[in-house]
Amino acid sequence: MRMICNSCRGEYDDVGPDGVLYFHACAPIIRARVRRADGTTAVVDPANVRQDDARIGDVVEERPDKRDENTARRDGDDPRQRVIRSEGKGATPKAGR
Amino acid sequence: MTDRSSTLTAPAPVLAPGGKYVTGDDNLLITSYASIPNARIVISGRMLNEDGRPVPFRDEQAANSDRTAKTSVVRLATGWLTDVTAIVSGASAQLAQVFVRVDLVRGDGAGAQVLATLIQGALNAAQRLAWPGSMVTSMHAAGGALRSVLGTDPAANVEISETVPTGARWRVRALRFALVTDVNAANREVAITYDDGTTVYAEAAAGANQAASLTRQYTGAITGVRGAAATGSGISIALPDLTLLAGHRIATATTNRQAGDNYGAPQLLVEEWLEGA
Repeated sequence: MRMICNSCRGEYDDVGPDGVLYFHACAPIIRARVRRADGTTAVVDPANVRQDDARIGDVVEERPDKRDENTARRDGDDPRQRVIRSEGKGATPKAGR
Repeated sequence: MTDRSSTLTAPAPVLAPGGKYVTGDDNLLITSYASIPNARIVISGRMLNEDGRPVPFRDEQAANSDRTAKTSVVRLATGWLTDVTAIVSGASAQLAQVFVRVDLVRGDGAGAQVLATLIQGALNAAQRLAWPGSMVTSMHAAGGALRSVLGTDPAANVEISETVPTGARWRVRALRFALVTDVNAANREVAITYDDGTTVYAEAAAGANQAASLTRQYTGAITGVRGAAATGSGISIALPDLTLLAGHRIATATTNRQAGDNYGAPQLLVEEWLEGA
């Protein structure tokens, strides 16, 4: 089934063409660390890097509402019981598929 | 003088010199891992009961398809366990997609004590494992299963990011994706990064720019060299040959990415091993 992640708006099939389950995990947010013309540094969205900025690195941040469909053992319960790592905002079947 | 042949139907130790004597408290603990749906582990074998008669047994376990462990118990009678064999039924699997371990245990449930490991290794519908006979091997003893994986199609202004699933180990042999750039003037350069879920430990840059309002197809391969097509739309990236554990990520990092830049879904060719979860 074609799904849309409500956290990152990414689209994916929950089962691959080979029948193997697919576990979506949201991409992190990547920001640019730049040195400004006045010598100060700042962390900005890559789309907002100015022409006179020097990009000196990237800052990787997890999305605050990250969805990660991979599973983990549930603490304190039967170890065979597993839960989704991070629900995020959930996922919705894509209409028309 | 007593004629022993008239009192013993068959002297079992002579008939089964390689068998293991088991009591009614001993069982077979079956533990499987699989990444494909509908895989059933068929366990069969033969015992010699106390009367010296061979008694066949057969049991099945439906493996989980999410690479997590599935366990079940095959109860044994008193006698000599002489043969055990395992095979996959119900699914077409590559060798590294189903893994099974058969332990001889005393008792049942969480308190069962493992006494011996009879079978451990990868198997499928064509290749059995057998005790006695097969070697006890690890999940990574042979080559991984080759899988073509379609990843997530990210929204605009979001990088590609694929996470190695729980219970798996990946070697990324190739990947391909498209990047459509918006109208904002800037030279984008794409790099492919590998991280451990937090920190990047490898990066491979395209070494070629992509300007505004263009569509470029990027191909990364561990045997490739980097370069850009002269008149076509292809850009090649040489990938490092690394093995990634569960939770590690393969992602893009785009210098000068603009708000309307949009990646398509990546297609990856990975070699996958079960890791157990």
